[in-house]
Amino acid sequence: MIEVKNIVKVFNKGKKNEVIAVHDTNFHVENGEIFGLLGPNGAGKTTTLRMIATILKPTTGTIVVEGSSVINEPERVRKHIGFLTGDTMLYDYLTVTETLKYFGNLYDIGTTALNRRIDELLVMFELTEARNKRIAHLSGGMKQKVSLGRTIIHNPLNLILDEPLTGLDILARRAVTHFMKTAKNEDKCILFSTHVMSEAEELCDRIAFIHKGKILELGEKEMLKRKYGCPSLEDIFVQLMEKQR
Amino acid sequence: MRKVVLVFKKEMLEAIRDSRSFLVVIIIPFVLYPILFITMGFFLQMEKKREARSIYRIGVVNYSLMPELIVHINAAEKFEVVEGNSPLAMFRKDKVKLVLEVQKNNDISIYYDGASKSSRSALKKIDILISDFKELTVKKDLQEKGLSEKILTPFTISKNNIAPAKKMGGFILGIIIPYILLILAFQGAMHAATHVTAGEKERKTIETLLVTDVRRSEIVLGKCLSTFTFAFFAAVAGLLGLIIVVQSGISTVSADVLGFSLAIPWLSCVLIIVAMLPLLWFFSSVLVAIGSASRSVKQATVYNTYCLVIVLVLALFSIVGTTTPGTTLFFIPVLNGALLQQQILAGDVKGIDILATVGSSIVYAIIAYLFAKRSFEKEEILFRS
Repeated sequence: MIEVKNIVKVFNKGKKNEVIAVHDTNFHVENGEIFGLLGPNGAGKTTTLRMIATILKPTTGTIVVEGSSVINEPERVRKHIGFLTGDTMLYDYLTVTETLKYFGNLYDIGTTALNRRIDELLVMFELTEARNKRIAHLSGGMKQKVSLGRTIIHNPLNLILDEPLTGLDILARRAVTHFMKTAKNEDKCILFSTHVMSEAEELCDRIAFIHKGKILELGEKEMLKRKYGCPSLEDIFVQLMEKQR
Repeated sequence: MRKVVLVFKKEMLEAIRDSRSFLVVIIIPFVLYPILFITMGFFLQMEKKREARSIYRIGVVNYSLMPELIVHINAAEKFEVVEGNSPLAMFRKDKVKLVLEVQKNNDISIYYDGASKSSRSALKKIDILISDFKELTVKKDLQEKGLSEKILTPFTISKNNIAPAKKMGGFILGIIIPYILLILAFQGAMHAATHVTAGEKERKTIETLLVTDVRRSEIVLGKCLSTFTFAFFAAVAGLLGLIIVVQSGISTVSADVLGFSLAIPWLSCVLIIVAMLPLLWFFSSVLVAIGSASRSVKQATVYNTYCLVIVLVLALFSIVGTTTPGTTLFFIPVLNGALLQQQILAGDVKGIDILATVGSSIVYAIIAYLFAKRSFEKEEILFRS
């Protein structure tokens, strides 16, 4: 479970080029749900996710993942999260197996358990034949599958996925969406960001619309559609934007 | 420490599979520099032989005032003498390398082109011939007056080099080896550090690593270790390459040229590398810090090049800077390493200088490492865009 309370992120604080990337944001993500953070590019989605993933520190506010604070116990938090972004890359000179082994070892998984987990993931993402291929020689879709494998090598309870479908072909996209749905069924907590409304429509249970670092609306997908009288999330977003003006 | 080793092993595996690493650590130090030395030696020796065979065309104004001098010059068979009236015009008209103008009072003016190598070389040779001629003339005058020519040399001076051949060889090698080793080690470190820091940012793999269960201090230590390993192997390969060249006698510093053989004792090699270790860690930490703070590989390369220039200047100072370095100089990074290597090669190591070099290098290495760690821990540095 992820709980975000009153977080603010200011870049270059006190300097001329100070930027408030995230304003007083609150939300929580339950186990067994896919929570979508929706907004245009530059809305503050990636900054929010990076704070939850312990890559950036919030200026103020608290974030708790599985009972551990990202500020005080970042190492503990990292054990419980799997973080994937659409543009994170892998090491070109390592093979698929070496990549998974490297990250598994970083999570202190024992050799036998790690080998078993690697075999499991290779089957899950249909990578068995490519196991000894270097990452540089894989297609974009296969790389994303390896990235997914790397993200869940330690079987984390919480998945933070930042625009994971960006730039994927149909097959790779299907593999990722299938993975997200399976993870949800396994009672994992999934926080997913996107700027493509149809993706959120297809995958998310609850949604937060974010713009210029502020959450404009938050709630269950169907409830929001009823509240705004709109058939699609895109229409809701347009209404919210108009209100802002 | 287990995770530091994991990061280190992964960086090394990646680096080994990158063909550019092979170029930086093996080809450049072990093959390119030795080939450069051999080629340079070959051309320098060819040039020396050519110069020894050269006959210089020179001009003489007022030939008739001192015909004996011209006979003396002709006897040397190194000059082709051309007569003329105007020194400056002869350079243009007769294409001479220099002009001697004999004055009525028997003084001689020499005109030469300071910007021309061959003119300067002709000047050197003619200087010797004129001095010989002057001495002969004085001796002849003394004989005519019934005086002993010993008046000219009331005493003689003989210079005796008491340095054993081994020490002499070490002294000569001390001019070349530290300079090249430091550059090679720095270049090796530059390649690795850029790959594991700015390269990791540019390839967008940094976030993947930061969200794993590894402390940032462990990541930095692993990266510094892999950079250090590269610098170490570049230095070792460079030293081996130089040993092969020097001891094979095919370089410019061969026994034929120097008059004594050159040899680097294995113990000196080991001592040189051991003494370099803190300096290599210092290089690695500085370069990891720079790479972490850089926005891209291009930016890191620019900053690293500035650092390389500093290393070049400091290493060069060990050659031209001073004849008897005081202990204070052994506190200056890079320079201290070069000076200590010179002492090791000459077999004249002073305890206080070792202490100053190793001690100060360890302190600089620790400061640089803390700086690298800080760069990696500060998000505004690591994620600057």
